[in-house]
Amino acid sequence: MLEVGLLNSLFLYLIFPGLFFSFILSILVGYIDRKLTARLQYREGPPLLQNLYDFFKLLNKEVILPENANVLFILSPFIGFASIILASTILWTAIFFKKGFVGDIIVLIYLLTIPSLMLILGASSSGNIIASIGVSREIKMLLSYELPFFTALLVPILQTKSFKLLDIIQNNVVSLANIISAIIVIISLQAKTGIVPFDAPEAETEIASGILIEYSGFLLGLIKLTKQILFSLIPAFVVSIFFFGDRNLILFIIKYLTILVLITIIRNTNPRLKINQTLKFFWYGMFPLSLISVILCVISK
Amino acid sequence: MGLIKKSLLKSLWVFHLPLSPCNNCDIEILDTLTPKYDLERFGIQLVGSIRHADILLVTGVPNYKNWQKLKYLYEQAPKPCFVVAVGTCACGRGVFKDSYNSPANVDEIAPVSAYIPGCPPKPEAIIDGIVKLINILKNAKK
Amino acid sequence: MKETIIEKVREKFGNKIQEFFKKNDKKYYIEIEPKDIFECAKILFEDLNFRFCTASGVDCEKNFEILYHFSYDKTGEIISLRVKLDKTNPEIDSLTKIFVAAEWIEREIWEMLGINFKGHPNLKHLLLSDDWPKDNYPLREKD
Repeated sequence: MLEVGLLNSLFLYLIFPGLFFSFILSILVGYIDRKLTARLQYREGPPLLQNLYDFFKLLNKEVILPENANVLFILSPFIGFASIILASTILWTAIFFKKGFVGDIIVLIYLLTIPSLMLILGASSSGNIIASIGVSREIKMLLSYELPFFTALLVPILQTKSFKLLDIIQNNVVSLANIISAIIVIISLQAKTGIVPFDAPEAETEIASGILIEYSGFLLGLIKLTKQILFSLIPAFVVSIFFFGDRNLILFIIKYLTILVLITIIRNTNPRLKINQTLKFFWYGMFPLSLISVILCVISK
Repeated sequence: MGLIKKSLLKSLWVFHLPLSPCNNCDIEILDTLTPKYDLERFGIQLVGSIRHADILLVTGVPNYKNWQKLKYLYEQAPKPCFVVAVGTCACGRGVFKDSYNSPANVDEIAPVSAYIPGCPPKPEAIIDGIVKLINILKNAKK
Repeated sequence: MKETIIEKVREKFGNKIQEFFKKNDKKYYIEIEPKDIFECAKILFEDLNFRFCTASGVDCEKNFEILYHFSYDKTGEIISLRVKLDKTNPEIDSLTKIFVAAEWIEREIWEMLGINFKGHPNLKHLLLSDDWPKDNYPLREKD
């Protein structure tokens, strides 16, 4: 019995819907994102397997370790990668196989925070001054978008009165509080992945890729793959929690693509916000809005 | 050609390294990276950190203040890394060959893989040079 | 008729002017003694509202020359003050006490031609590297 359980979980974690499936999905999602960005700029874009070529090229490059770095520099990309694969497994298992456990939405929220934390730990242990500027920006952003994100997710939890992801997916409700929460969750997840307009920590050529400046070779490949898999999880998360994700597969794919196109269009039409503007946006804009949506939800029950 | 070797040629990341040039070559490099010539369809991207770079685009004449920095930056880039000299100044110093402030050519400080002459070279010439570099690497890796 | 600015300049300089040359309507060359440069620059900058643009040093056959270019932005006229220094011991007063902008250009003229600026707060290399050999001034004509 135990062996079957172990083999089953290994299959889920490594092949489908874990490592292998998330890898392939991230390449497809990356292709759609870059091609759409290119078309919005009146040009052709990269071919289908471009993210695959990027990843394999980075696997073959020399890894240079800074002199002042300690073992956290090497460990943190692996831990971030492992946690995002676990988050992806939990979410896709709930969507496809309809299995879950009580409290798994809280575990999911925790697991989605770990890549940012690991990036902070790894970059600050590299001993580079410019990386410390990126790290301070990333910490400020972490303090700003997590609160509205969690508060907005209280709305579906309160409406279904349970902490099980499966119950939330199967009992979606349409109301004003839900729509406001959906918007807040989409914007907070954009900040989590580090997409324009919220990518101040990883500003290329402003601070020479601040938080990623010392990473090279396959460590950089792991970090970029983590960000891409997180980017491919955003539409799945939003659609399954707010927009009736458990109807048939074709509708799910259409809603997934709609949210993906929406995020890409926002990415291409907005400039990068400065770090103090990002903080003000989340603290004075999104957080009161999320409180309003929770209050609306509690009142209307 | 194996997948890993093919991936290097299909996804080259470029780092721009000016050695106090007159900036014409830098403006032409900037032109090449705009949507009109669209280098992203070949996988070429501009990166901000030397540790992410595959190609170093060097412009300008090395002088006594910055030839050491060129050497350090070349050593800091993870191998395999290719140096491309853009413009006549980087190829062979041009009119500044006997100047009081230039100790050596770029290829006496770091090994250059491709020379793109011109003052400044047009974006089409820069693309042609990079394509020739890719073809050389393709034939060499066989 | 309103007095033009160039007439005001000639009036204020008085007998400091050694030679006056009008190139065209917008460019005038005035030659003065090296010891008068501080007062003349002060008159142009503070009394008459000229703006200091830049200075250029040249190694001519018989002596060193420095041209100080001042611009009158309302009409676009440029006045260049020319000073001639002898080659054996070239030195002149520094203008950094009047405007801070003269600091870097005087450093460059010093490191390229070897002209000493008396009273300059920070006379060290600007463009050449720090381990450049002493008394090697690159832009001096070699015989």
